[in-house]
Amino acid sequence: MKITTVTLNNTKSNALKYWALLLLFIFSNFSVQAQDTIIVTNHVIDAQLKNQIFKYPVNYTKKHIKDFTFTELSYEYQKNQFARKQIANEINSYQFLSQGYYTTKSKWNFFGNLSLKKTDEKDLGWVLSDDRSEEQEVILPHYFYVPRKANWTNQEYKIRGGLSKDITNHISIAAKLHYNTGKYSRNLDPRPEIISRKIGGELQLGYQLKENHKIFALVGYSRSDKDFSYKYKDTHSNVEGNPDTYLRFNIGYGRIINYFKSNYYNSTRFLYKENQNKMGLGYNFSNKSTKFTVLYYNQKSDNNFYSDVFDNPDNERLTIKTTTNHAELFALHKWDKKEIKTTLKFDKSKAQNYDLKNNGYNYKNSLNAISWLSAVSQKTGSHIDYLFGLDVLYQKNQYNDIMATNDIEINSLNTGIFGSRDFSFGKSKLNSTVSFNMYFPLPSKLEYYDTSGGTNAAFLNEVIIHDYVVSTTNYVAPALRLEYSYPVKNNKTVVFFTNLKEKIALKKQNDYNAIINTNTTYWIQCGVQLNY
Amino acid sequence: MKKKFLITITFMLGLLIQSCSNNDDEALKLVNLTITLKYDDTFNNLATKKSTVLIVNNETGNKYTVESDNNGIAQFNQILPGIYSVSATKVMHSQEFTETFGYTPTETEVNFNGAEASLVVNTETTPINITMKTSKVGDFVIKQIYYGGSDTKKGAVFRDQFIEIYNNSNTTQYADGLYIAQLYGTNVTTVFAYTLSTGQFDWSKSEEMTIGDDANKNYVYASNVVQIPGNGTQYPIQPGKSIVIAQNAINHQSNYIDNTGKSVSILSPELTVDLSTADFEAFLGTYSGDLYQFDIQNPAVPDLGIAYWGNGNNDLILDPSGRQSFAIFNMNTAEFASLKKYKNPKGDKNLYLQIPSTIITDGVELTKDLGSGLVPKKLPAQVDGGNTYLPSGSYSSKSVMRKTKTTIGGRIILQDTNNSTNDFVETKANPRGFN
Repeated sequence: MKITTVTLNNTKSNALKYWALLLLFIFSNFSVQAQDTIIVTNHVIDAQLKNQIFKYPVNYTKKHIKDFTFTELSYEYQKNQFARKQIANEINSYQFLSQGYYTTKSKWNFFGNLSLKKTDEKDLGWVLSDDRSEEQEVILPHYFYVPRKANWTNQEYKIRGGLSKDITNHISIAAKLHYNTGKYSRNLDPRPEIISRKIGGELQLGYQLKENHKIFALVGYSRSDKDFSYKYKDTHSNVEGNPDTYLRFNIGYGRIINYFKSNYYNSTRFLYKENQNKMGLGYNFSNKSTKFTVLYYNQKSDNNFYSDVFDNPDNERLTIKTTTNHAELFALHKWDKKEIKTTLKFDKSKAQNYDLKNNGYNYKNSLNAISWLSAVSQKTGSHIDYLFGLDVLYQKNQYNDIMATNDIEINSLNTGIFGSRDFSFGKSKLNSTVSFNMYFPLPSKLEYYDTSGGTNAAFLNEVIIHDYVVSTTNYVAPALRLEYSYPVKNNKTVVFFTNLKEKIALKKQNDYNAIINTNTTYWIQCGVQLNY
Repeated sequence: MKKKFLITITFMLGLLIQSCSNNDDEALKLVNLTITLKYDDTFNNLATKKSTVLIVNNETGNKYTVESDNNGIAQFNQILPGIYSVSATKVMHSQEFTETFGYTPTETEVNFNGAEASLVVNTETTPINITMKTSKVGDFVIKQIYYGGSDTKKGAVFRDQFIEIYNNSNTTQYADGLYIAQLYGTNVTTVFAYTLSTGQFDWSKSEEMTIGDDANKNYVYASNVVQIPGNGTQYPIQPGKSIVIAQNAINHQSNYIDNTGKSVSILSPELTVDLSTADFEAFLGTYSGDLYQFDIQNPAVPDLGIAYWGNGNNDLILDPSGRQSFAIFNMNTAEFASLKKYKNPKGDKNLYLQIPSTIITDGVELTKDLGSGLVPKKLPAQVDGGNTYLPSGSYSSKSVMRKTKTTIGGRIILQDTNNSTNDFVETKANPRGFN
């Protein structure tokens, strides 16, 4: 008797076909009302799409995007009260921002942005680097610090540009370049001056499997240098007897050492150098009404601290090695006048700080975040009838200073809803966007064992415990954005806008008795845009 | 084309998987350190029991103290890896000395000290041995060094510096002929071809040096040496009394006219000191033939003798950062004249006087701080097993002063374990004062 064996391969192959057919069915049903061109506006309604266009341009090589130019001048005032420690009490910033996207007749797509920002920070202590603990719960090690607060003046210039094109019927390419430079200085002893430069690029290569279906790969590289120097006008203040101005160095998060000497001719100059590599793969589906992108990339970076101005390996003292895995899903669908956009992101990164003198790592962190942003909207022409959205951010972060010794875990859930609509007054219109975020700390922990014999107690009490208490306190953050826009000649629109945002502390969710300032932190921003 | 593309994608995927592989580097660990203490050959290399051993992490300033056991072993557990300075002190009373070594010492107390600098402590560090030595016992001790000076705008800068020497014995001592040496060495622990692993000069490499490593072990090197004048019995110092040796024996709390005729105003008198009643002052005008603007001569205060002057300074200026050390010793004129002079091993032009460490009566090792300002030791461990410094820094109106140990019959006895880490504290400069 002949026995017929059904192979596993055949079964798998059939399943894939069914899945593919199902997907095609879904997408073909979405492709109802086709539009020739996607219009991107400088409004939160298009923020997700604009982000995709600039980040993954290889997926936008068809002439779907209408040319745009957004130019903005803005001023922002920020008063930080309920805030972590390594951030200024007040921040005034002035910014010029310009973004653009153009497609030539030969179907080359050019895009880029330029940002010039001047920031005046008032009363910032405990950190002498250009990192701030505003967005990040714990800033990375390798920084000098003194407790004393002082004012900073910072300038940042960022330019990014790129191009994309279908070079054959199947193959599309995109290239991006960026160059950032900044200068940061502090007005009281110790007076650090930081000059940073970052240059990098990314290549993206797409292959059209069949109509509307594309797979793509990306590779990126960037390197940044940061020159750090400091000086004391009053050198007597850099002594143990003046702990407020005695320079110290954070080698982890709580492992404090006396400041490093520079090997460079008895100077106080140091070098930071970072190399970053990125590789990823993705899939994109795109037709006139639907876009769907799923991607993954892996990024590795080495951030080295040199006790000299040269990057000679002998001078390398510490290095932070970071590995990041990022997965992202973006979907957009239009029907009638309506549009739905959603972005789901998963980020997982691990970093270890190696003490090259003592042959091992002394600090590590593990950051995990899942975020989901969705918005549904309806537009009549350029008029926003409504926009509703919600965003959710779940974070599970761990920070472990092995030598200090502390072990911190901060888990949190940040949820928000937002809405927006236009009110027309003849040719001009007023747009109002309202959002409401709520931050929930989830079960977290801070364990600390002082191996310093008490010499690092100030950093523990003033920064580590304080910030942990801030990070584990509920807050709500309502925000309002008003935009008044009216068209001027040549299809240009002038927009006056203002943003108001508050961060209101609610209930402390921890057992520490640290006293934190729970007065409301708030932002006020206003500016003008010229969009066309 | 399609095939090439797929090959490229496959290759990149391979790289991606490779890049995701785990890193198997290890975390730093707290480590143990074993230090074995033994007396030197003179005392038959016996184990040093119940000695206080202090280790200081040069990067963090963390200090750990342990007492050695009956086998002379000091065991430090769970300490941070890093670079450490080690100092061990054994204060032995005559009874214990007799029981240990079988004979009775001439002193009621004998101090033994040992030290190790720039000791790298990590998981690979093996147990270390430290030899404990005793030194010449003198009756004079350096009681106070006011090297920091006072505020550069409101005070007297470094013009008000002084050194105080104290009779710590119970009999009258004569200061006549006592030498006070400003010791010289490197300022930083950076290692060069001409230094030892501690960062201190490797004097065996100095031009014309012929005694090899003995040049480092058995000698110290002075940039300047001054001498108390007198005929041998001219300057008696009673027990519990001291002499103050001023850079300028004037009242620095008052305004005065300098040697160029300019008025010197003191804005905050409380920041400085009155040295008009000092016992001696350094006046270089006669010696160098070049009168320094602030080298004010007070005719009422005797001048020190200039026994050796090697660094070209125009006054007895002490380094306000604390990068010099100080020693006192006695020696007859002929012996002093026979001392040799050497350039430092870098070959700089100045000559430094080579002084045998065995003749040092007392010495104090200074440093800028214990961190990046750590100054390599110049004195051997038996003279000073540790170091001292001003946490308040230079121009702070502070001095390092020897601690009071006890008071017997109204006479204050100062602590002298030959370890300035233990023996000295920072205090407001106070000529003839105590803490």
